[in-house]
Order: sequence, then structure tokens, then C-alpha cells
Amino acid sequence: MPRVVLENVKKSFNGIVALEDINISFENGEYACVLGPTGSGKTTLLKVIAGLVKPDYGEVYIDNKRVTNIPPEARNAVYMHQQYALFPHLTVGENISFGLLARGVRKEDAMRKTLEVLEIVKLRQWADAYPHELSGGMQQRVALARCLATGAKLLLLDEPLSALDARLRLEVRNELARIAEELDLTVIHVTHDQSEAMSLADKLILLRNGRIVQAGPPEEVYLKPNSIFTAYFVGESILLDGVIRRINGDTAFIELRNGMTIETFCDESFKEGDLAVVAVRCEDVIIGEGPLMGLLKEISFLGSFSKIIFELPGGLKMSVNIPLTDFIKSDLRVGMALQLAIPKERTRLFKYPAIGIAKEVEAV
Amino acid sequence: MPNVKVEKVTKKFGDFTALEDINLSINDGEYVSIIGPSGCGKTTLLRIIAGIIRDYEGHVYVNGELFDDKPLEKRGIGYVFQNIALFPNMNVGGNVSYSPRAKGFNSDMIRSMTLEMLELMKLTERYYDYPIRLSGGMQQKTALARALASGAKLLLLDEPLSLLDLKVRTELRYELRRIVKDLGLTAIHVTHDQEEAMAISDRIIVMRKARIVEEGTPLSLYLRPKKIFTSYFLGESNVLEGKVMEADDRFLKIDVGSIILKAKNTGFQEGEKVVVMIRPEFIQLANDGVEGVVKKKTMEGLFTRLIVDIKDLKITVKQPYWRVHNIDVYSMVKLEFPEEHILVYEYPERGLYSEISLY
Repeated sequence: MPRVVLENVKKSFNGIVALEDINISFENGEYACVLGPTGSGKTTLLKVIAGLVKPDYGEVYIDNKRVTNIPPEARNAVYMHQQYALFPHLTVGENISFGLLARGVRKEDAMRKTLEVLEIVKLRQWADAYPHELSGGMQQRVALARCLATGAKLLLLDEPLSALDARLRLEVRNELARIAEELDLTVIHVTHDQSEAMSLADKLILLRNGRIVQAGPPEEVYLKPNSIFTAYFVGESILLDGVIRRINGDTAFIELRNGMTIETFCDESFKEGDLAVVAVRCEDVIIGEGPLMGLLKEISFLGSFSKIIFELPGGLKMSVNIPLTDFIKSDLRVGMALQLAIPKERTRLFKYPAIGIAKEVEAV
Repeated sequence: MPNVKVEKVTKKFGDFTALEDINLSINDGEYVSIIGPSGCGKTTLLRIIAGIIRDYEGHVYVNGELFDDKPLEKRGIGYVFQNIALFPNMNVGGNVSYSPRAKGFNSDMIRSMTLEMLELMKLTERYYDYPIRLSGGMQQKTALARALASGAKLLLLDEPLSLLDLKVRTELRYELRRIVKDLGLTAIHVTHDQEEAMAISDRIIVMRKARIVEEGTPLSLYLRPKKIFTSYFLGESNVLEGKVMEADDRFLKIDVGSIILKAKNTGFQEGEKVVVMIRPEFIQLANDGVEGVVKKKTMEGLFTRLIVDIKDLKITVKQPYWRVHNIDVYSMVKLEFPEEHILVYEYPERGLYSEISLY
């Protein structure tokens, strides 16, 4: 249950910045998920902690000990690769004991440890089976057991579930949460799957172009995004840009490109005449009442929720998510004209980015 | 705008049966997705229709014409492979315009088709780049642009969006459907992404262990799956084993362990062993429901997931976050199980586990 601290970490590969100014700490027993687009530095961050990549600048501490120059095997941490590979010609048990024996653990101790970790991942009765006899999810659990057998209390997981079918991912995800809690591990888990990250994480870390954009509990990141990028990348948001026409106390009146005006809360940093971006979650738009008028253009059923595309005056498109239970009670049809409202308390106001919205939210 | 018919197709690789007695018919202009666990045979089926796999039992017809002996290049099919396969010696523009050029279209038309598809895939700036210079996602978009520009009326797409980042993937799937519909193409799309399948398709085919389990519109498969496996595999379900305590013309009372659930009677008798499925988002918090204790609460974006213990029963509930934001872990809640959303199935002969196991 180690504590991990990264201080001013920087890393470039051939002049391309992979990590920049990384300052973050992971607490004892915390489950952290690192989220971000491809190429945002997620894997590099994990490898820096594991000791597989040496930062150009900055320090890494594990349990208050500076480990920046300490080799991976002496860090009490274990890194699980994206492409974990089990030895096909070894049994499940042998796959696990192999590493222990190689490190000079006595045979009886290795056997005992192997059965112990197989018990944890609930595969004890499969010790003598070969990997090909196991399902994908079971193989994943063997790989995890192999990591646990090292006794490391810091688990670094790089997309551990990405090779699994969606249905299986849900199950193994729950197993991971259970094991981390039972063994009181500190886990840093890199993923591109948002719902996976949100459901597992005590702390969610969003990376973009090698920098941390936001870090905090999932609810906070979701409900209080600190930037346009977070609002766009975590969950789904509608981003509307316009000019602040008037400010009245803590309320700003934004005139959108199509001439419509919407109200948001704002702080002192905004003034009348500023260009601004209003972000609202796709599920927070109210259908059936309100000052806006939209034409229903498209309905797309996605399982537990449906996505409804409205077109507003001036060609403004708005995508609204509604839960299935509401959808099946409604009689929404393409071609309907409906009133819409954007509740003021559900909006977030941001400065208009110098590089424009499209570039601001672009992944790389 | 071709229609496709697959008749009694079986394919074995040595001892392994990849496809078993597949019968399928796909209409003109239809967008069909095939989903199923990895190894279920979905890619093999696509490769047979494409003409890449030629020795199989059964028949494939396109527009009524027997295709079994028709060579790949004469089938007029646009194909996007899982492992892409662009022409490495041609740049993006060359790859996308390959097929229109081969067909001898005039140069204006070739250029406009190529640019239109590149525009759609947001690849215009990459026109002169060679595949080796592109990320996996960009290569995939190039392959998709090439298939769309080929002029083929039948598109076979094997995980065509799998290498793209989530955001790009979700945007592109709507574009893909729109263009397939605009051009009046028929598309067969293999994916492991269920949400993608539901968003993009007119019809979904669910496969498991070399066979078709069930097919239907996304909504019908999600709300009224005929098979336990579909209900389990597509989206999420609470799966409960139970026994019918009472049965009349309209309703059943089913004992599922710690609670008795009321469900519509779709032909069950008192005493019968059954499987009961209910989707987590249909379970409501109510003032007069069954009491349980919230064991876990995780916010997953649009939905918050609650794990509720009702005595020995573990129930998953999914509700929009604003409906449950003031419920704490370890607090008592009352759950209501709306009878119209409880699905009851005959208890499978070989047991529940074998019915829902993925492989």
C-alpha cells in the first residue's frame, strides 16, 4: 500500500514531448485511473513509475523514498503489459511459479504462494490447466495472479482489460476492484475506457499532450470539469460558443452564434464583451419545455440511453442523451419541433480558447 | 443495392467448427451488424461472403446469383479488413482513388470522389502521406475511405473503427451510416462494440459458438430478447434463477431467492424452474419497494451504478446520476421491479452457465 509521488517529471522521445510538468501523488491504497487520448502520455507515465523509462527531469518517490535511479525490480512495484503473454507450454500454476523460482524462492514457498494467488483470483482449481483451456477472462486473471505473486503492493496496469469482450470486461473489472481492496494495493490503471475508469477510480487523472489536465474523484471531474477539454473528453458535452452580452451579478447572458441567448453562472474573471464557451452535458438538456426551439433530426438508440439530435435556428446542432426508461415512455419522432431548455445550474462557462474549440478538443 | 443470402453455410478448420449451419438473408440497402464473443465465427462469415475463404459447405448468393465460385475480384465488394492492408507503395490519395482509377472513370470524377471521402474522414491534409507515416487510426480511416470510394454496392466491414479513439469512433459511426444510406449501399459490419452496433444498424445478428443465436432490430433485441444469451451479452442484465410459485392467465409470481417477483405470464406453469432477467436501468427506487442495502455506488458518467444487497441477492441498479446523487453507501433503499420489464425464460436443460458462457 505504497504512496507514490511524481515531482516535475518530464520526458521526451526524440524531441517529442511525452510528459511535461507532471506533479501528482497517489495515496496508500488508492485506485487511480489514467485516462486520455492515444499519444497523451498515459503509458509513459506508468513506465516512469515502474522504472522502465527514466525521466529526463524530475523525481519519482515511492513510500517517501526517491526511486528515480532505482531499477524496476527494486521498487516494490509490478507492471502489467498491455500484451501480457502467458507461456503456452506451462500450466497455469507453472506460469506463476516460474517467476518465483527464477528469483530464487524455495520450491515449497513458490508452490504455496502460487496457490495463494490463484485462490485470490478464484482459479485455484485450474492450476494444472494450460492457458489455451482457459477463456480470455480467465487468462487475464492468471496474468494478474502472476503480478500479485511478486508480492508487490503497487500494481501498474496498462490497459489490462482492452483485449476482453465487452461483457467479460465488466466482470473482470469487478474482480480487479475486489482484489485491490482485499489486498490493500495501490493501483494505477491506464485505460481509454471512460466507464471503466469512472467505475474503478478513487482518483481520475486526465492527460492531454503529456500534461495533466485534471485530477480528482470521478464525480468531480465529471460534474465540475475545469476545462473545455475535460468537458469534451470525459462524458459527452455540448459546447456552445458566443459573446457575453450582459453580466448581472453571478449570471452571464451569452449570445450564441445563431442569435439565441442562454444564461449561465459566471465568476469575476469574465466581463461583458468576452468570447466564451458554454458547456452542458448531453443528458442535462431538458426536452419538452423551455425557451429554445429545436427540430428533431435523428434518433439513435444506444441501449441504456438514446441519443437525440436536434437542429436549432441557424443550423446549430444539439445532441441530447436520454435514459432508456424515459425514451420508451416518450413518443419522440423525427420531424417533431420541440421546446428545449439548458438549465443554468448545469452549465459551465469557459474562456474562448485562442486556438479555437476544434483544436482545443482535438486529441493530439 | 444488392441483397445477400447465406444458405446452410458450415465451415470447419480441422476439428474446429467455425460456422455451423448459418442461414441469413440481408436486404437491399440494409445496414446489418454482427456481434458476438471473440472466436464466435463472425469474421469467418464475413470472409466467406467476401470470397476470401472459398472452401465451405453451403451457398452464398448476391442478388440471386450464386457466388460460391466467383473470384474475389469479380464480386464487386468493398472490404475493410481488421488488419487494414493498404497499398504501402501508394500515398493516401493513391489508395483511395485506386478503385475508381482501375474502373477507368474520368479524372474529374476520380478526384471529386477521392476528395469527398477524404474530407469525410478528415484526411484531406494527409493526401500525400504514405501508409507507414500514418497512425493505426488514420490507416483505418484511409481503408474506409477507399472502400467507400470504390463504387462497390456491398460493403463488408470488419471492425472498421476499432483502432480509433473513442471520440472519433463515435462521431465517425454516424457519418458512416449516413453515407451508406445516402449512397444506397448494403453494409455488413462486424464489431465487438455493442453500442456501435446499436447506433449504426438496422438489424443486429448475435452469434455465439459458430451459430446465430438471434437477430432483430437494436431496440427489439435490447428490450425483448428471445434468448437468455442475448439478454446477457447485449447490454447488461441481472440474471436470476427462480421457481414459479403462482401462475394465472396474466401473471406469474416467481421466487428468486430473497424476493418474489411479479412478471407477465408468457406461458409458464406453477412449479416450473425459470431464469429471470431484468436490466439494471429498469429497476426503480420507490417508496414501497423491496428493501435492500446499497453495498457499492460508482458514478460512471450518465449513469450511476448501485450494487444493492437484498438479503442474499445482489442486484445491480443503474440510474441517472441526478436521481441517486443523495443516496449513500450502506443506506437502505427500496427497489421496484416493473413487471413489464421482467423477462422470464425456461430454465435451460444444460444449466444456466452453459447458456450464457461466451466461448
